[in-house]
Amino acid sequence: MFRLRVVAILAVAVILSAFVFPVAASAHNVSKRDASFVQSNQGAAVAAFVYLGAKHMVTGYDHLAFLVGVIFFLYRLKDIVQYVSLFTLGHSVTLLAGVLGGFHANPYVIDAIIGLSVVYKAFDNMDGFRRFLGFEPNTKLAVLIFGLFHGFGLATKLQELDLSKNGLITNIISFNVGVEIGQVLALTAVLIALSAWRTQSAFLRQAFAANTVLMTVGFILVGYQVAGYFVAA
Amino acid sequence: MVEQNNLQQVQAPSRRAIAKATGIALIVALVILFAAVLPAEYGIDPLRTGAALHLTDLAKTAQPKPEATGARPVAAPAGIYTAQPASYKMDSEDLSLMPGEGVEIKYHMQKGAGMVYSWKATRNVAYEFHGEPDNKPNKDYFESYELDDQVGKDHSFGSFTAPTTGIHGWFWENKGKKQVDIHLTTAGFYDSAKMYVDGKPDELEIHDAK
Repeated sequence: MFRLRVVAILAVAVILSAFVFPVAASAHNVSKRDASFVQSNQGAAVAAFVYLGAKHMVTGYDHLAFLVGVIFFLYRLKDIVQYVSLFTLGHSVTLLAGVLGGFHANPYVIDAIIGLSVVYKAFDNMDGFRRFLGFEPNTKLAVLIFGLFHGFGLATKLQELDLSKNGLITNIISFNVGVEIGQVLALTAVLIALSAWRTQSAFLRQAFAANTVLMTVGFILVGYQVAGYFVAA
Repeated sequence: MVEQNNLQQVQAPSRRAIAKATGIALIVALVILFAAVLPAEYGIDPLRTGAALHLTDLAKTAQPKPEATGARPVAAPAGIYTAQPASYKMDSEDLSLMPGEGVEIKYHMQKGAGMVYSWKATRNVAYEFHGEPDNKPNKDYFESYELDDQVGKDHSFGSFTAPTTGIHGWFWENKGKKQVDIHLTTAGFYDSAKMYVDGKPDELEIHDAK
């Protein structure tokens, strides 16, 4: 029990650090040094793009916040795999289609919607929809749709970097593979923390508070992006 | 049994509790946003907390997200010069593209050699500034420097340092419905220039700097 608690505290600390030190993490933005690599890179660079994709996922606090919300009350591995696959399907489709098809969107609007996805999931976890609307929106559909937005946000960011046409498809697919690897790594950390936390008798009481905090993070992300939209305009 | 009751109570929070939690989340988010995030990220400081905590200093160094069409901030390098054995060359070209036509102008440069350029067009034209090294890994290999094949631009001015020994220059394509005239001037350490129409090269006459 003691060891479990230590593991839980460590895992929570690691996850929280992503929220507390947003300067070290970088949300959707690919960091400046990585950006200059992406821009100067010519031709296929599988390993480098896999790494960038994984790094993006592990350090992207908006993705992590959403995933924490999604798996918060999922206990069975089967359910977790289902929901995460839907999220993966959603963001893979728009990442590939966005970059290859050259679709553009305002990154602030997309990121604000991603912030809203965090608020939505936290509210859903509080049982808010059933209490206020009398029904719960289809969570699988919601996860798929928000997955589409997450991928679109990433596609928009990557397009700003003037990717070389040379080896583009290989690089984008590598990046996407990296995103999935990063997602598995991040999920593993989140799951270890959640599983340890769930063994505590206070979990359900703390769960409500935790989702309130998650919702706060979501609102901050929305406000940050909405303000950015007007500053840039 | 007690545990069971407890469990159900927390599993089904009241509407009041949910509304309260949502309200608290919103208020806390707004406070953090206005007190810390906005001053630190954008230098917007309505509560003066940013100045008090020196958070606005972060905003001064923070860079705004590059807009899709905006200029990318470039770090100023230390003064660098590259000596050359001979004087630079100059070239100026006037090109007319009918709808659907494309043309390419390329200069042969040694690795590290510099060039300054300006081109203006009578309307937006799709283009790519790119190069092909003399020793390229495969026939279709090229390196792209600046590309706008969607909206296009009606001008581009700049300076360029050749990353490889090879031919470097522009491809313009008129994707519109009206004729586009382009005027290009360059000066730099190139030794020859070629124009390509439908992939066929034509040697261009270049001049020594006077």
